[in-house]
Amino acid sequence: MTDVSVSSRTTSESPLTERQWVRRGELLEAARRVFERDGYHGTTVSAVVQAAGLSQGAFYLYFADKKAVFAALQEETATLLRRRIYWGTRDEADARRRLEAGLKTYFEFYEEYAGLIRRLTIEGLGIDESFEARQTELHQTLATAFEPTLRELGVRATAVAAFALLGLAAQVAYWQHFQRKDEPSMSAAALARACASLFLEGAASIPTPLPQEGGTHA
Amino acid sequence: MPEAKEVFAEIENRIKSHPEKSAGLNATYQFDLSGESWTLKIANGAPELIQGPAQSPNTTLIATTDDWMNIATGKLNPVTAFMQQKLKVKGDMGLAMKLQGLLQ
Repeated sequence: MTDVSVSSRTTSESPLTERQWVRRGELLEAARRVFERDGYHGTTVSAVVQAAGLSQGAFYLYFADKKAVFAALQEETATLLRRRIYWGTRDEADARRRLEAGLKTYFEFYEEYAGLIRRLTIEGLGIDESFEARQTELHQTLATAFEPTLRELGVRATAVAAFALLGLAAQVAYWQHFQRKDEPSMSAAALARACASLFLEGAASIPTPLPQEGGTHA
Repeated sequence: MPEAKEVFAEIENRIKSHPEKSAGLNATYQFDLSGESWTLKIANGAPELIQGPAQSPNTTLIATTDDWMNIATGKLNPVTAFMQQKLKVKGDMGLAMKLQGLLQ
């Protein structure tokens, strides 16, 4: 798989200077805002450079096209999520609490990056096979990370269960953030406990009402 | 929150477990955190972690220990940290970006 995470520049080119690194960062941040606002298909390179306050020429120094900057954001988001779940669960000895910690980390991450994750998961899959491959790689990594915990909890078909768990978490996170956005939000910890309970003991085991945080989404 | 030592050990392990990513790479990274320095020396792709500063690092990354830990554990985006000057880089910027690729 082509690594587009560093930049679209080829390795034979001279290394980026600090100023160029800043500009690349400005373009990434601007692209993130525009993609969140307009979606992948509604975003243009012109809108990104305008949001970054840079010239069109500057954009093409760092990224080949719109797809390349979207791919860089996809890679960046996946890396952050992988790191966060790894460190968020690593030191939890109890399997049940480790499962809840992993889910809580996922829900917290989703809340922080909801706008971008929505674009990546809904529109990203339809762009081309390389986007789908990177998304699949992320899901595989996360599923593999959850599998030992599920095994420890007595789950037998761990691969099926891990992917089902990810699907459950993704749908609940989307529902929480986008579908019930005018209602008080539930805490990541409460959602994690509910999902773990549903997953391990069945839907009838989810305690109600779930604790709410009292505020609504920004 | 893990300790800096654990985070650097994990970085070393990650590079070791994906040798294809660092194949042929020769670079010395120095990390200057709050009151402590760490060196990650990669010789022909093989990483070696040393507590303390390097003699002649190719790239030095400077951050508070808290900010570095947040970057390493995924709580702080390195691009954002760099833009906000929470992360400073001296020396070869290309190698700094290469490091980011190694840790993905």
